[in-house]
Amino acid sequence: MIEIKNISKSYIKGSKIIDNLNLEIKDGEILGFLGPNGAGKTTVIKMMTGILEIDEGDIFIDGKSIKNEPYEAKKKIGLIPDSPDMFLNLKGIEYLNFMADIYKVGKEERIKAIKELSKKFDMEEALNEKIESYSHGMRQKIIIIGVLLHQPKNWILDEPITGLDPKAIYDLKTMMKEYAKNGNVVFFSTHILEVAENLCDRVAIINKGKIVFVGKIEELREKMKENNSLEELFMEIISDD
Amino acid sequence: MIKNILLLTKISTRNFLQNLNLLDKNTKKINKKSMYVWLIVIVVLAIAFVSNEVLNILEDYGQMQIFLNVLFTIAIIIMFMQTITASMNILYFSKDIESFLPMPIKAEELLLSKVNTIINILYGTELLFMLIPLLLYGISTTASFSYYLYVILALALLPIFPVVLVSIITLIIMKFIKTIKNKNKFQIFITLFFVFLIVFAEVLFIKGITSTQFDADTIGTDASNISETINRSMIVVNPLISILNRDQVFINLVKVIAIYAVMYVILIALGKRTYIKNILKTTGYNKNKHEKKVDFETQCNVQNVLISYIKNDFKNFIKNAIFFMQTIYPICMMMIMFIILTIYFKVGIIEKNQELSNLLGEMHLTIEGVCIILGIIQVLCSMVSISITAISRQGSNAIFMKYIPISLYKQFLLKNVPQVIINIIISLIVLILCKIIFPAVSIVELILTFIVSIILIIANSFLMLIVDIKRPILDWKAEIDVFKQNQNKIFQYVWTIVVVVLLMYIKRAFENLNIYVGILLTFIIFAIILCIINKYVRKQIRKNKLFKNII
Repeated sequence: MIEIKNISKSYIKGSKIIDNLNLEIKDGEILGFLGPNGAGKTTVIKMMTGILEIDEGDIFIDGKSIKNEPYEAKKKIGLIPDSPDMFLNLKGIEYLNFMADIYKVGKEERIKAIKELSKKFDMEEALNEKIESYSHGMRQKIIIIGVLLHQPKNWILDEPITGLDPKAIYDLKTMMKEYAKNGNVVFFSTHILEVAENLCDRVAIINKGKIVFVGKIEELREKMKENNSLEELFMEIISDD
Repeated sequence: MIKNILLLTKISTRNFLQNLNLLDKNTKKINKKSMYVWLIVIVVLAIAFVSNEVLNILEDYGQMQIFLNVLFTIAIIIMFMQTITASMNILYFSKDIESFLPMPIKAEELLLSKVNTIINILYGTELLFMLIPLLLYGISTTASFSYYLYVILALALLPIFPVVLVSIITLIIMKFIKTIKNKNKFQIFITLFFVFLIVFAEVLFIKGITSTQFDADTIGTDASNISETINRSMIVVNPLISILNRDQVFINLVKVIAIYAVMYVILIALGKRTYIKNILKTTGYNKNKHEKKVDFETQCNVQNVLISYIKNDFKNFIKNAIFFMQTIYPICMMMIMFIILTIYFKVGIIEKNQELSNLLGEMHLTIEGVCIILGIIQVLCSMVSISITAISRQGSNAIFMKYIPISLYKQFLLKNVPQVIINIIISLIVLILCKIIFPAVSIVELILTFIVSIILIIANSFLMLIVDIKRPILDWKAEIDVFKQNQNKIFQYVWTIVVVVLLMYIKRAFENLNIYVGILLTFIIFAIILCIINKYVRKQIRKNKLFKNII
């Protein structure tokens, strides 16, 4: 469970990029985090994962404060960053092994997970190659495999669909659904509204650092009292703001 | 053809210079905020001071002619080193090559523009290291106006030799290589191959020099002997020195031009046939799909998280050619030189001179000696750029540090391990070489000096890592930008100056004390400095200040 309580952040004094934001994501839930460019999506994700300091408020990951108990909180998180260009000098298998060491995954467990996930993402043949030789989509896949090795209770994904081929998108969506079904949190930011519509239990829309809507897509439609597409509803809600 | 070459050269060179930020982008005047500008000023002043001192000493002994020989020897060695480091990267692996390939550019045009780019880089080296000493030499010898014209001519011609020679050798090597599966391993291999060539050549020189008998009176001119031997083998150096000495100017100039004409003919002929084909071997390096399958039992071993973290950091600069070249290659070269010179000094001079052998054989370590050794270790360690780029090398992935479940303080300590290990090896080599030259020095004193050096090494690494954490270069596209755009290196030089000054003070303050007490007090001073730095790190991490620029 992720609880975001009254968080604010400003890079320049007096100008809040995130303004008193509250959000709660329950276990077993998939929450899509939507918003236009520069709305503050990545800033929130960075604060959730301990990359960025929180000016005001706090974030709790399964009850552990990211501010005061970062070590305990980080053990419960798996982050897929927006850029998959990581550890390019390592071979795929070396990267996965490194991630398994960092998150203390045992030998049997890691071998089983690597075999399963690499098969699922069609990456078995590429594991002994250097990540720098991978395409963008393959890099994204190896990062996803690395994060899922330790089965984090809270899976946070920053723009995970970008660069993936249709099969990989389908596989990832299926995996996200399964992951949430097993009682875990799946929190992801996206620009692709169809993905949010098909996948999410709820969506949170952020604009100019404030949450302007949280709820089910049906509730959004209800709120706008129009039977528009999600794209039209999204445009309407952020322009209203 | 010439128009294309000039255009391509201009693009490549401008790209290189822009990264140094020497000029203000808006005003086009000298950028006083650029640390490179200040670094250049400091280096030029230091070189001017040292040159002046050396010239005064040589004047007293009536040995002024040695100056040009030694200066050109040092310059040509530096230029060879620089060319070897830059050539593979600029000729075959620079980012712009793939953009040039679809354009209607001939192989020789592209090759010559790349060669010109390296020559232009070396002109910068010349301006920094050679211009002031040559001008001072002219003033000291009250040279006529023509000398200064010949200086310009010599400086214009000198860098062509190492660049064209290394380029020809590189073209030949590349011709015999079918495909390049791993560009990083390949670059490191080629560089080490050239290093091996240099070491081999040096061993031959030393053998040649040491086979002749020395007596006490010739020791003072040994430097000149070595220089002349090296310069003779660099066929254009002696003619250029002769031009500066206004000795058969026309004949020597014709000689140099003729040598260059032959070299360029070979370069162009080889380039026409092989350059583009060679480039295509490198651009296809990542298309190889015949990697063997993963052996999970052997490749998926569980490791302690801290060891895994350190190993990963080591891989970061050892597996990447650019990082390897920029972080530890210079010190590797320096240590090879040190070892060769020590062997030469021991075998070629000390063992052939009973008086000198007895003198050095009786010398014991004093606190002055300890300070000199620590000073040398500090200067050598300042050439290692592992900690000062530890965060910057990670680029945008540096945020990884912040979301993994390992405390930032622990990660800070782990990030220091690679530099500390490399520097401890350097310290050990320096102390072993000391023991070789001064056999009477006690092992216990050397071990105690080694312990003090470890504290100094850790303090140095901590400080440099703090600098990189506070001022990281994370937004880079090519690995070389981590070093080109990085102005943090100046902190390393400043810290080295501080340490040297402190050691001079320690030498003066403790010179009358017992050696063991002196070493103990030196240890305490550096241990206190280290504790203060460590306390600062802990405090900054606690207040969430140290890593705040990594986002």
